[in-house]
Amino acid sequence: MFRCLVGLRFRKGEGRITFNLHRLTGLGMLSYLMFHILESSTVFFMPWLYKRILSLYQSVPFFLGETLLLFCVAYHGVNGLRITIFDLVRPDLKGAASEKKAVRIALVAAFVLWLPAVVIIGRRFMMGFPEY
Amino acid sequence: MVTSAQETDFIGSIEATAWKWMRFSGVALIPLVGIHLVLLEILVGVRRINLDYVAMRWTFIGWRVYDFLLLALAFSHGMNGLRQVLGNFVGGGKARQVVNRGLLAVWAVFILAGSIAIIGGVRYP
Repeated sequence: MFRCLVGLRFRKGEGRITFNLHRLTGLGMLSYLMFHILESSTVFFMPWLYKRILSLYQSVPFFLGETLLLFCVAYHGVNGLRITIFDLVRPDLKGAASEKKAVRIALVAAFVLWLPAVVIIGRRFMMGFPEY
Repeated sequence: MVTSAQETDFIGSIEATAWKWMRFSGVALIPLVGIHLVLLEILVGVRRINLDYVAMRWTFIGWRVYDFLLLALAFSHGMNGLRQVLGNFVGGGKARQVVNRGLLAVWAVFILAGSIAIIGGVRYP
């Protein structure tokens, strides 16, 4: 019954936010990925549907979802790299001050990657999808 | 995170393999997803994609291999991640087994659907 609370308390302290943000961004990407696999597979299974699905991407909700997705990719990628480095390359630094610093660097790096991407796709969205 | 007793159980177990695999596939996914996004979001633009674009792209077998790697690695990484998340929320024993089998079935269906589409290619209506 209370397992769900245990799940959210799985990591304590400062790492708890990062831990849950890593999971949240991962689950966010997975839900889009499931849609994306089905949507892309229609080129073979239901090609008449493919164009109609792609026209959805021109709507405002999908654009907002796209920016959110890009944040998930940026954060999950950078933070995943941080986890891998401290697990496999430098396990000796675990729990050290440098690991705590790396948690913040990962968050900053994610924003540095995400913001220019949002500017680029945002400008294109504002242009109102000219016929290419 | 784990006590020493749990640690000895962990080493050499299937969970240890999964743990390592998440890190290796994750590192591989960084360039794979990075190139995929720069290509489709910035160079091509998602709103320019259509059946012709997909058909043109898949005339080169290398892109089919690339897309298959992306499908297999990303979806397997994601489903194993979901398995780990659900493992923290679902009690052990029977319930865990049902969840894991369900996830395996979903994994198989999506990998199969994606693979058939990549091999079969674009079919014009």
